[in-house]
Amino acid sequence: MFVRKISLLTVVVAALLPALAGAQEADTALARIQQNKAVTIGFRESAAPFAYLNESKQASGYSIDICNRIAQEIGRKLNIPHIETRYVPVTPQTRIPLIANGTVDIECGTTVNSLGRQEQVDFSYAVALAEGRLLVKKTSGIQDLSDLNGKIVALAAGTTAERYVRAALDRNKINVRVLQVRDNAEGLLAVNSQRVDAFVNDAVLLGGVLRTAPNKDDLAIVGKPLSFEQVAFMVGKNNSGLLTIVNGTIARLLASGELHRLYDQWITPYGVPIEGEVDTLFKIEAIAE
Amino acid sequence: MPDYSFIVRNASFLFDGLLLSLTLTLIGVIGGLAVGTALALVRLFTGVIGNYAVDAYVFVFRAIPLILVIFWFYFMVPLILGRPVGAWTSAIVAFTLFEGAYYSEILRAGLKSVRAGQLNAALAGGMSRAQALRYVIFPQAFAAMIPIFLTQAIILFQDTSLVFVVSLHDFLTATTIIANRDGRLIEAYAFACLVYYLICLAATAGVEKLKRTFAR
Amino acid sequence: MNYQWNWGLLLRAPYAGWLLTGLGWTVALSIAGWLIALPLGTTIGIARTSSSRWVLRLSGFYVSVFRNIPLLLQMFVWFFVVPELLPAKLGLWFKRDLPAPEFWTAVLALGFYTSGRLAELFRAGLQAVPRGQRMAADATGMNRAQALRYVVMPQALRIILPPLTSEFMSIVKNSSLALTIGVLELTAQSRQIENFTFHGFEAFGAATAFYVLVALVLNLVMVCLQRTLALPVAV
Repeated sequence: MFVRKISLLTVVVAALLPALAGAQEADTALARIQQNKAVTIGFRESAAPFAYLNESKQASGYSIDICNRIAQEIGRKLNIPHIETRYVPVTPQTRIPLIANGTVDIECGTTVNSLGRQEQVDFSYAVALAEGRLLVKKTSGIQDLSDLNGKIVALAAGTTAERYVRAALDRNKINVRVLQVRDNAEGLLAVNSQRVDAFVNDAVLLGGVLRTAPNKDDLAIVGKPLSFEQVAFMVGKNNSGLLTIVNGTIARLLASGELHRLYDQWITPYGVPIEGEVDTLFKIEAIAE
Repeated sequence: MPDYSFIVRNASFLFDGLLLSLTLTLIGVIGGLAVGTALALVRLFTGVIGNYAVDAYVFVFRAIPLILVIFWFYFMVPLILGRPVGAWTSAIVAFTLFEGAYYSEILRAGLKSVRAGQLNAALAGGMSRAQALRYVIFPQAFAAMIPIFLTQAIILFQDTSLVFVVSLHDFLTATTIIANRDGRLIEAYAFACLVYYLICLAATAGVEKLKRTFAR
Repeated sequence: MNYQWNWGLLLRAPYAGWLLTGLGWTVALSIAGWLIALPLGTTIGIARTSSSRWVLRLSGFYVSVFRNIPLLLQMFVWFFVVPELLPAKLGLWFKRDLPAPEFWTAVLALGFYTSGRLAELFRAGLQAVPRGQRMAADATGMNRAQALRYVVMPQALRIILPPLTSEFMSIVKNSSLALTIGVLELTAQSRQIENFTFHGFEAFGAATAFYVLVALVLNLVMVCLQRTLALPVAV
């Protein structure tokens, strides 16, 4: 009986799969936006200062401010007056599929650009740089990656941190045990409850965690940056029309200095000001009209 | 020192979460019943192929974890509909189809519990098969099934907490958010345990009472 | 829909290995949880048929606590709350020094949750054995423990074998909740593969196939067990 069930199942699944693949049309996101008269923005709920739910439970942050301007620009380009902006919460686990399947038009969070991800989605110009660092308790005495031998480290599931941390640990022959945590809040909790010795993530995100931590005086962000990565917005593959508007808006905001103002408002207080690599990046990306 | 004041401060956020859990439960029960009934009808009125198809559907849905089902539909629903939908819609579809598999089994057991003689008597009395089912079998089967349906609904209410994995703000997720924000995990989870416990206990007591009423 | 299918990827390193270790953790979680649930559930189940009022009340409370709180919340309580309530040193050991603390926390949560459900099952099974059996055992001079051990329990076990199998299937499925506290079991691994390769459909498809396979094997085992254990006369 089971054999028959299974063979039937196989037939059903095999019949369904090609139907799902569908045709690859260009600029489906813009068509969708035109039809709904709304831009759907995917945002992170606890990734301050890039994107988070504020006290009145609304999406806010650096990435959200930029994306709202992008949405207005899309409205102008498509001749949609009073274009609506919808917000869909995403997590590190769901953001890529939600872009790929069209639930979200633009993902505005803290996603890092990588070649692997470019197989499924396209990325905008970078709006910030991510540097991986360590959040530790001051009493732990941990100063750098080399102090982590034999210790336990928390990594947020579904982020690139996992890969670069593992690479850095292998390079330096450091032996640690890794605990996967769901998000930044849980990473802080793991450090505070001494479940782990360090939480590795982007310095700005860690700065955000630190600012809201009830015991911020006991904690410190330490270590040389483990990596430099581009923080960018995601759009679906084959959406060059949408991507052009997104990138154009970022370039114009950079040229007019408005993006610097937003950056200083949101990001600089977290200990990563516009200098060095960030400054260079912003100069290069301010492409002329 | 335990401090429960943050629960009062966030009462409306928590209440919204509870409301979402209850709404999802209600939709899951109604949708699951509809799908379950449809599956049971396919079993009754179609031949071998229909029976095997329903068997396979029920077997697969009962073999895989609800979390996996939620993940699946989180990706599949927008794909099949061909337009963007949020986590809420996907969760509804996932719960409806998942519960449908369980409800169809309950329905089948309920229909079986009505003695074959009843059907024969109805048919002999000149009713068509559909009439016999509609007027003789279903009412009896339904009465026998109601407590089981409700028990399944209580299980479903507990299962709605799994929408946590797709960041829908049900009661448990809302509790977790304020617990993390205020650094009061022990109090927050103790409170959540109490709320779930009392709701499920009251509901179970209600079902028991109903069972006794039907048993008379 | 922009999606590139690539089923071959599941057979490549390291993803094939991830799926298999994930399956390994799922099986380990289920079996370890079951080893806690079965003795606890049996004991509480017997207590539920006791004639002592206090034993009845206590065991009833035990069952209602573990059955009326969602498993996910129970898992959070074991992971986030219990270690903080233990004496500091023991709590720290529970969180850090134990090999694979997440795994053992999940095992405890699964075991206790399932024990509540098994207790109800055993109670129902024990009560389903006709009274005459117990009386006959009494008449042959057996004491109550002997009657339970040699007459009532063997029959009750045969009655509850099918629901017991489906409870084991439930523990296999419920073990997926361990992913919320960081155990990389089958569902978590399939999500991890999705995260690294962005081929979610293939990854979740593979996980689904594994769970279906486990269910099929369990069904076969149950059918064989039922045949082997069947009594010459109907119970």
